[in-house]
Amino acid sequence: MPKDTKNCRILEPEFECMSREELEALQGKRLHETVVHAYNNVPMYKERMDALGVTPDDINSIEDITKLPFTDKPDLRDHFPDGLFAVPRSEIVRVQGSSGTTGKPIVSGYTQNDIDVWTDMVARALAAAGCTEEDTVQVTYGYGLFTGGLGIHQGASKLGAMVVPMSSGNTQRQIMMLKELGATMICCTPSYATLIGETVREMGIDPSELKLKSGCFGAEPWTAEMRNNLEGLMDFNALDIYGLTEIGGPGVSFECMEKCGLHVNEDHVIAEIINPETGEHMPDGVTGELVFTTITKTGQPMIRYRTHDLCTITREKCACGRTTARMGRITGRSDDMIIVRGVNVFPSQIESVIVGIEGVAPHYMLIVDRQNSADTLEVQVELKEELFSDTVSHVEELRNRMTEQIKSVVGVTAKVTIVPPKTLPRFEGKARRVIDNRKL
Amino acid sequence: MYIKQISVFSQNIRGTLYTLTEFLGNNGIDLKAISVADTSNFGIVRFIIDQDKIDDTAKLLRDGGYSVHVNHVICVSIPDKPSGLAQILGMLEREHISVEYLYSFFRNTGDNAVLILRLSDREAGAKLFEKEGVHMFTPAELA
Repeated sequence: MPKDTKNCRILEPEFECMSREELEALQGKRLHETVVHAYNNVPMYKERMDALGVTPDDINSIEDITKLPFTDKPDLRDHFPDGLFAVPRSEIVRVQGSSGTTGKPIVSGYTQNDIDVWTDMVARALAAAGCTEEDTVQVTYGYGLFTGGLGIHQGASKLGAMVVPMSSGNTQRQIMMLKELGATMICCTPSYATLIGETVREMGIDPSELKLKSGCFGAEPWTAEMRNNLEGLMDFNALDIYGLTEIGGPGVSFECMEKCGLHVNEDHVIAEIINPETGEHMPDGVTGELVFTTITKTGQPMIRYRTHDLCTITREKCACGRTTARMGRITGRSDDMIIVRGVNVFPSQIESVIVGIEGVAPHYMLIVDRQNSADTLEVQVELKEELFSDTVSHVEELRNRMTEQIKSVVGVTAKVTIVPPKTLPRFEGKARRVIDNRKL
Repeated sequence: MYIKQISVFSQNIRGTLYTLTEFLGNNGIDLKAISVADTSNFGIVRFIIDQDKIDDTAKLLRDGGYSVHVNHVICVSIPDKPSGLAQILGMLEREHISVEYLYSFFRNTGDNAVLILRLSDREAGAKLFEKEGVHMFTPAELA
């Protein structure tokens, strides 16, 4: 049976297929408006621009973007929870959040305009995957502060599809609902989709018994091999979708059926590639750090926000007809963040747990692996000799306490391994505490 | 009344126990009793040696990179016959003293077996054994 792509379409060609000149003129205008808004309403932007001697009047075209200062995740933490809101709190209708670099989460505030913009971006992504009012979309991303669940839900609703808001987990039940309600699309992390696909096969269900035609998968990096495997398991089209809470959520960019890069919704965000070491703006085609500036967000505009994701950008027209810039797959990070089962994990979060526990030394290693399509995180930590005793229960108790606290702070269950003192590597200069054995 | 035991923390990895016992052997230390507590994740190796050599051996192990803990346990001799152990455990049970772990000696002592016990209440256990006439080894007897 050929894969059904007949409803795959460009939802808003007036923006998605704009000529580069028109698009850049629109971006320049919106950039100026955003900078004026941020400068006048967010003290951090005013202070930083003043320090550089830049005023909003200096920013009139997209070339001027390089005059602006960068923002980064610690800025969100330092101004937690509402220090970067650019409108009165009464105009904020939602917050969404994700993990910060330490125990504290970061949040982003949305006006109704921002929710509408985000919904629009997701709707374009789902339309590219063939979603119409005839479709049933099973949302298997988590619902809550995490943008995955609600983001896809809103986009699918806008297109008039029937949404099955399953949230994540309980694989058998997911499959039962896929079968019973006949979902034509599913959205979740690619590793969870793979687990569902493998379980479908193990249960002896032929993919043709399901009605799935496509899925949009994101929140973690994946490879072409994973796509081939997933499409083989489920006999459908598996598309990549990218986003981050700070910039809005999923839908910042998305793949079309050409599967040759993720289209950035450039009428809403400006994408740049910089050299992560020097901050220098890099030409198209060069791998560097992806930086986004929101140009339609009013609640919490982000200017030159460093994602720390490494990739390339091309602005060549796609065979699908869209003219928007395309990101290549994310090939790495310019910081030490890792994504485990779709959750952002910073070694510093684990460290904050370890230093709070008496009995273990502040030396640790994180080992990430992927077993049976599920990510595993092992935290190795050294026992302090003075707290070692002759009974097993004491060490087991330490382990349990650490496992609980890591789950509570980071949001993922880690396997804690207590190792003898002085057996983990010591670092001079930059510590390399993460060993990632996944083939990403 | 009490004797000293050395415990060493180890990872649950093949070869760990061999490396440890070889290290002790190379340093001329004779093991009189040994027990290994294991979990899926780590292990604790506990052993009894010549009581005069405890401090030196603990230092040697620490210098060799091991995590070492020294504590007191009780070492008793019990009749080597059916119900010999049950008799001792019954005695403890009646006084509500629990056994956290126990293991026994390598050496042959004729009609008796030698048992090492860690009890929930060491002092109460020792008093009980004294009262009941159970022989407890002194450090000198283990030299």
